Amino acid sequence: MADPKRPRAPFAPWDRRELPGIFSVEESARRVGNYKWIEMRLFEVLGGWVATVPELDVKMRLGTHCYHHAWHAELWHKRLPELREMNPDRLTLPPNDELVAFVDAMTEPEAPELTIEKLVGAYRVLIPHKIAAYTYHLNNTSTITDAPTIRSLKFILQDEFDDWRDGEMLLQSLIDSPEDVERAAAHQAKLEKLMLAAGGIVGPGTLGHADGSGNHSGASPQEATT
Amino acid sequence: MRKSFPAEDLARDERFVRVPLTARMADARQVPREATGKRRNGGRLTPDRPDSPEAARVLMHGIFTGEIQALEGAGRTCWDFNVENTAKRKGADDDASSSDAPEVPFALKLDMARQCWDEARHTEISIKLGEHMGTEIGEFAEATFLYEAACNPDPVLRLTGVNRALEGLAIDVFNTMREFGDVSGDPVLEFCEDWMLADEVTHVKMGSDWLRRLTEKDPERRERALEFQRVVDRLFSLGGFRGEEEDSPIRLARRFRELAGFDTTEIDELAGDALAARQEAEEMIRQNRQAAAAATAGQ
Amino acid sequence: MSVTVTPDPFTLVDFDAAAIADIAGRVWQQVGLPDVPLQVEVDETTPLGRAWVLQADPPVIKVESGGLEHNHKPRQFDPDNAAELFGRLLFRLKDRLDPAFGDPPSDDDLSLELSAAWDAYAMGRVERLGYKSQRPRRLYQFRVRHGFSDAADAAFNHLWSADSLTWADIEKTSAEALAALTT
Repeated sequence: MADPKRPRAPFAPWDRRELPGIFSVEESARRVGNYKWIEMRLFEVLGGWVATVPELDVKMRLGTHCYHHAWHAELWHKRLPELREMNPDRLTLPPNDELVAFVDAMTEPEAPELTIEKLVGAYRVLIPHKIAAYTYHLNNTSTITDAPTIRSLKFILQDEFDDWRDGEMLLQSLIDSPEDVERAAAHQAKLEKLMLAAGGIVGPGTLGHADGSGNHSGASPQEATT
Repeated sequence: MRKSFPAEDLARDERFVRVPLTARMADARQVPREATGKRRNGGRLTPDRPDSPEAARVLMHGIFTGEIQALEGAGRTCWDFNVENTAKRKGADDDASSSDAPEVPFALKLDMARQCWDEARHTEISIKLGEHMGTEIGEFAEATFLYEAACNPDPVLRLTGVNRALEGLAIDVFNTMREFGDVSGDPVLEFCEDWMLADEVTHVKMGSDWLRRLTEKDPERRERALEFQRVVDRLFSLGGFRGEEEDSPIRLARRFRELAGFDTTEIDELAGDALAARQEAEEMIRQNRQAAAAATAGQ
Repeated sequence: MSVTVTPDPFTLVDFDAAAIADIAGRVWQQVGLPDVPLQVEVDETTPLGRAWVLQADPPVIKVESGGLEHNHKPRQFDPDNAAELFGRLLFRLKDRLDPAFGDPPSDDDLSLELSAAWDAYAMGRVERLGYKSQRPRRLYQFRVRHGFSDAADAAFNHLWSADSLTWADIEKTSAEALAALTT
């Protein structure tokens, strides 16, 4: 039998987690506030769209997905005080007016014949951008100090991938003519340009900067953790 | 997208046909209340009724369209109201209707999103149960008075109308169907209705909790909300279709309503209102028959 | 053959007696009934949909107005629903008039189980005439009376696909399905 008093390494050989991460507490809080804001906008519009789409399968899926993104907003709402933001509403905001313009354009379609546009906005533009931003955050934050954010990101990303797949399959089943393809592509291009102007769901630097730095101050990962 | 969505704009595919409540109210026919030998139809939904399989099918389709409307109502509540203390959305500042939208707590919207999921699930279950019972989607007409109760621009009244009145009706209806499934030996129906019944208790509690929280310092608003609930409850009694009489097809589910937070006084009031609604409906039928007879005599 | 429909005119529903008679007469001939006058009495005072053979000879059918009503248009006549209803009743009437069929109780005295079994036998033949039959709906009705079991489904399939059963056959099939409930 192993001696219980024999010293063991505090990190098992297979535990490769590291301290450094490129986000400070403040930068994390800023991003999380942006995440909460965009999740709120998404769940609100998915809920609002339910009554406007005639397709029964789409109607039900939007209702289910509405809850997913509301739950994500709740996770981010709870994370904010843990990042020293005692007033979560203060940081629950868009990174810039350009993202507001994106959301306004994405949420604008209402007529019953615009299901393709609605789904394109959510599932071919916003959700893929969220997946990108969340993955960037997951891969760059400290796996030790920011473990709670990572946990939420993993749960959220599972939903995002599932919802993206659901939405994409619905779209593919709805698009059944070259005209529909062009409609979808045109609306996607319009929204992508607005998202480009916003710089992503947390603004410029959503996926890092051209010089390879990721944090707001532009410091190297080692500098960010000291 | 508008911040208020009227019932006439509810999107449907071509299988759905809408019949306004006024068309049904103009009916001069009446379900006979007295038993006539072995062949009494109408009355409480039990397997010994000769028409019970058909009555269950029609009711199930009504549940199905009701769930769609509940889903739509919960979804609209996620969109129609702004969240308190939300950061300015410069893009929406020019949209007066958006900036004028009433505000609700963030947690209330989270509850509505959860209800959205639940109602989507109930719609799925209802579709499967319809298939189980041999009913086609759109086989029967749809009435949108359930969604119309969810259109109130005051979030407190909306939640009271939907989560206490409409969901309270759902408790009564699901309990009736659950019992029917149990007595008729239908394991699928009983199983599904019981699961949906559990969710509805949660929804009613949501309504009760938010009514209390949002009107803690505003007793007048609370009173208006409860009055609105009574109006909706009376409408949902459907002329005596729901009540505590032995021949009411849908019985008030006292036990489950108590679990959901309704007190005895409320339930007693509801029973009284249901009886009054039945008497009004019978009087309306009598008047409709007189009108029909007069029209025939005049020809 | 002549079909008399009462009341004529209708006052509480927007039915046309001639339209009802036309469909009843057409189905009568397709079912293969003899050329004798048929009387159809519609109870327009109730929205329910029960229908039964009041008497076989001379034939009289009683129908509550809901049975002929359009599902989407209150108080309007639906020819498809009417054809299905008349098909079901007239096959049962044809069985009654066939001496080889046996001697079933009157519709008023039939048990709910046997009525459902007989309906399954009738509706299978209605389907083969080319009319709307809604087999899953009829299966559900049969299951409510005979239980939700493999035995009940097998009994239903046998009744639905048969063409020349006797009353004793129907009774036996129903009893076999019910027996599975107690085992």
